[in-house]
Amino acid sequence: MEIAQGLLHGFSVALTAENMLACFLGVALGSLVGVLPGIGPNAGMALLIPLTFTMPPTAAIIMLAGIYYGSMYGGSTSAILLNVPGEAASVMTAVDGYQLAKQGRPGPALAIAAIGSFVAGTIGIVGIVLLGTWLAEFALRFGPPEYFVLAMAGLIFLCGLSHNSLRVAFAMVAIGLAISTVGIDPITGTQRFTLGFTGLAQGIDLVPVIMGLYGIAETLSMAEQGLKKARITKVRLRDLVPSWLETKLSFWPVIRGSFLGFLIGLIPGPATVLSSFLSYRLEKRLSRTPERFGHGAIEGVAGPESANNSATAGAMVPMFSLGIAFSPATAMLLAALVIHGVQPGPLMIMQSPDVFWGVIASMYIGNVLLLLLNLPLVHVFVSILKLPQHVLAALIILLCLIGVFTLNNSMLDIWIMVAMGGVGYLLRKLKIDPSPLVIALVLGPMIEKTLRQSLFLAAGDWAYLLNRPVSITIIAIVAAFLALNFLLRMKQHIPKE
Amino acid sequence: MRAAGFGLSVAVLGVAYFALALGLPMQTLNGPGPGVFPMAVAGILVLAGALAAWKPEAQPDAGDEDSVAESLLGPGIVFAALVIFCLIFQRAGYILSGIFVMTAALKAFNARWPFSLAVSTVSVVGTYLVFVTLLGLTLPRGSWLP
Repeated sequence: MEIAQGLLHGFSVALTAENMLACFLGVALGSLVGVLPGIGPNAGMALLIPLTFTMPPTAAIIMLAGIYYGSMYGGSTSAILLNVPGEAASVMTAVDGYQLAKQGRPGPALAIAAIGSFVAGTIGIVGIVLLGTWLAEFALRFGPPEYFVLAMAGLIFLCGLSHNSLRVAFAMVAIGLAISTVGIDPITGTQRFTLGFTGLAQGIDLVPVIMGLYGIAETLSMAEQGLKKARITKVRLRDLVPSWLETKLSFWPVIRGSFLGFLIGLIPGPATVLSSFLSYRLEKRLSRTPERFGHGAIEGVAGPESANNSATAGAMVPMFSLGIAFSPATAMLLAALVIHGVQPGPLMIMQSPDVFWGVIASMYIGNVLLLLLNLPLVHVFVSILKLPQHVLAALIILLCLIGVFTLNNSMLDIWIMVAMGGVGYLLRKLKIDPSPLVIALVLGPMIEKTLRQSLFLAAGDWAYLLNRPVSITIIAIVAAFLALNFLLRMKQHIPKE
Repeated sequence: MRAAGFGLSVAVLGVAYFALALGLPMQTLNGPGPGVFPMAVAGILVLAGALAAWKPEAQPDAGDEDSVAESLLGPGIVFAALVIFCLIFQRAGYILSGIFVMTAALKAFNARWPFSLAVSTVSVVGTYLVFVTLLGLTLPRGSWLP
């Protein structure tokens, strides 16, 4: 199916009443998840998965994708008004956004953040269509060795780009890989690491792990901080219009942020956070008045907000085209596809065109809906911030428990979630990012399966992996990345004269 | 110190995992057996854990013992309530165990009893109506109900 034809088909799917409603619900809930400090897109999607069980696959994925990219829009609201980023990707937005709010310009900051997100989201979707379809076609030539090298490269990139030190990141990856081996071996049927629990034979599901590490751990951290009252700046509709100068200053940061974010989204790692950070640094470096940054520069809002939105689109490319998730949020989407019986990967465009093109088309619609929700209705989301934090925390716990239990009607899943909640809380205390563990858990089965298939095909000869052009290219890129990473770390350790 | 503890825990986990992986076949007629990959993972666990314990990252000051104990009280209550929830959920059902865990969580934030009970009851009954009655999902009613 050609791209234009595919998109037309996608719009015919997305514009049905059922899918439009799913899209609206997704972006509205996504904005809510983004606005509320504490619930990031990962926990938000995990919490709301049960709502999709009774939906058809296309509507379910449209809604969950809406939560993912919608949360990036919402995150800026609490960052600008409260100096509390709704999710990690909005940390850089808070730096100048909150200063603008203190200077009496919260409206233009919110408006530029929403418009920048809209432009970036739209550019990102065009990127998915162009790059995603090409990559899916190219990936049809991939065999087990290519998938093995690609998934390993993803993990190595993730370790290098993670907030953790390299040693800690590798330790987290190893824990994730170890968890992924629990259950029946898919090739021989041997039970591994089940410790006599029959429930573990099916393996450890991703959803309880994510809900524990992000949802429950967050509520435990909130309980440690105690009651907090928010002081919220009032925003009226007429205050939202940015001045001509603010619009002019924001134009290029939005464009640069959109392209930078999309490219970073393609790389495994914390794409939304990294892209907003790099965009902020880029804008500050390019500015003729860098001293304004940190004191209310509108470019410091426009660039990072655009970058984190297009990064969400970029991160969806490997998920749709290769069936590989390189971030916890896309791992949730991947899990949702599997739950709804859709096989992700290069053949998805051909086998499930309704889902692929329907979701892409719904993202165009969702972006328009988000602009409408986040500008005229911003005061509604602001008023939600008045919800007491302790009630929010207790509700998160309840929704986590319902979400995990209804997944498989399994008590074991709840136990796993609670245990992972404790682990997630301890990791927060140690300032360790849990995302390498999550991604390793997702990629582990694929890494093991493709490694064993490759070794079987090669009769145990490891050189077989190096004789294939795609594999050797990926290995060369990883080697270059590791060398660069090593040099940068060495440079940091050399004392300045 | 805490980071060294993390590294050591990972290394110990790696050793235990290695011991369990030893019992798995390494080779089958179809090529590498189910023990090959876990062996490699065990190696990474031990190595990465040992390195993290040997050269830990600098961690912020933990604070004095009283403030640490005080700050851990809230999370401790919530975590204990979750464990009790797991133990009573099947027998007591969603409504009762849900009200229990939510009330405990609200009390961990020092909310008042009437407020905690009212919010918990409304939230639990509301979510039961949405997820079970409206969406048709299954949540245990509890063996105490007819």
